[in-house]
Amino acid sequence: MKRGDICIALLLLAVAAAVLLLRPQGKPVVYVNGQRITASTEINGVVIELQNGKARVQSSPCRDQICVHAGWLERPGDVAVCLPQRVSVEIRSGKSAIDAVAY
Amino acid sequence: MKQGQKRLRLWAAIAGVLVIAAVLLYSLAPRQVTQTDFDMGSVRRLTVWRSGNLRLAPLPSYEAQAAAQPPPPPVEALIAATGGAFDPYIGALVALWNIDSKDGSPPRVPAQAEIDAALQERALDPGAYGKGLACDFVLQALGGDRRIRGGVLDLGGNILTFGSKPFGAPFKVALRDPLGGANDTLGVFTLEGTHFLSTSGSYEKYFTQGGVRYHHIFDPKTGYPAARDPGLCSVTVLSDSGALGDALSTACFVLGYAQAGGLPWNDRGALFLYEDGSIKALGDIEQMFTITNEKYHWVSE
Ligand SMILES: [Zn+2]
Repeated sequence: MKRGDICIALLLLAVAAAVLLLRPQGKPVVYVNGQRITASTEINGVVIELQNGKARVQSSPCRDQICVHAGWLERPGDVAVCLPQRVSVEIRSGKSAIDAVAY
Repeated sequence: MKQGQKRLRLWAAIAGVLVIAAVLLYSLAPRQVTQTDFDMGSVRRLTVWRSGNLRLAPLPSYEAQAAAQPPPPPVEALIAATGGAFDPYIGALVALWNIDSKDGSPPRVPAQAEIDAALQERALDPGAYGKGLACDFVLQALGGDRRIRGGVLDLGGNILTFGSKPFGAPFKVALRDPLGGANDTLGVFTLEGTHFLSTSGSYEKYFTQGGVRYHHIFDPKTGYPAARDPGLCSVTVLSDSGALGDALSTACFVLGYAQAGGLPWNDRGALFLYEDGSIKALGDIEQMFTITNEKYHWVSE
């Protein structure tokens, strides 16, 4: 093989490696009721705060406050659900290892 | 033609084939679509892997349909098989304790005479199998669509998996830690194909009176919250039927580990979780479940 061949082969390998490695690595994304959000928001009276890729229910008019007590959500799969106000907040990632949580 | 040019053409052809192959692989691989909504007071989340540009239509209220039906025959048969430890006709008792406090009034411990009277009534309460039956309906509705390769349904913590994920990857379903916080898990199921996971636990709904905790799963024999297996925290049943699996998780919780082992056990298995972190397995479930939380450990009997 000539030097040129080796160069091209390495180039192809590099491109393949780049495609594999630079695939969207599943940065944590916040979803509210199935919709992606990128900033703090309010829905059905539930105030959702976003900060440095983390999210939490800051306040809710519901009686049980279960959603507020869920605290900061940061790992993919973390959820806070407010059944009375019909709001779910969840962290997802394109490469999350977990498909669902049973309870 | 020069030797170098030939080589260059060869390499260009190889690169071209590789690019076309990559684009084909990417466009043909099933895409993941997730839909979240609320139905009958619980959150419902459906993820499917589908080919083509199928959009998910919102699912109808299968829970309402399930609640409006009499129990399916396998669930009805469980009443006799458990010697009455499982009984969906305790609606009057459930209403009497009022642990849901649906009408806004607080739950309370009823007087014995009230409990005795409520146990005489036969009112259907679909709570013990309704969500599982709704999972069965979803599977019927989606199972016929050939564009859907596989999916995961989360119906208020009842999980249905069906079909397969891209490249044959197994489904990974974590189990929430009943002794931990809202986002703590204790282990993970690795599943392939169609499975239902249903959990009945004393930690979900309860109230405290006079320092005693009263949970929402009743023993039809006593009219009180089930307490045959001391320290039992929750039971998770792995089944091939949603309705039966859901009913079995309630039946197992009431019966406790020792008595549940005597059931005509034709399902895949059950995990019994205790307050001290011990886990007992029934049936064929141990190899599908990995403990990931150091608070918990297997105990064999
Ligand atoms: Zn809430």
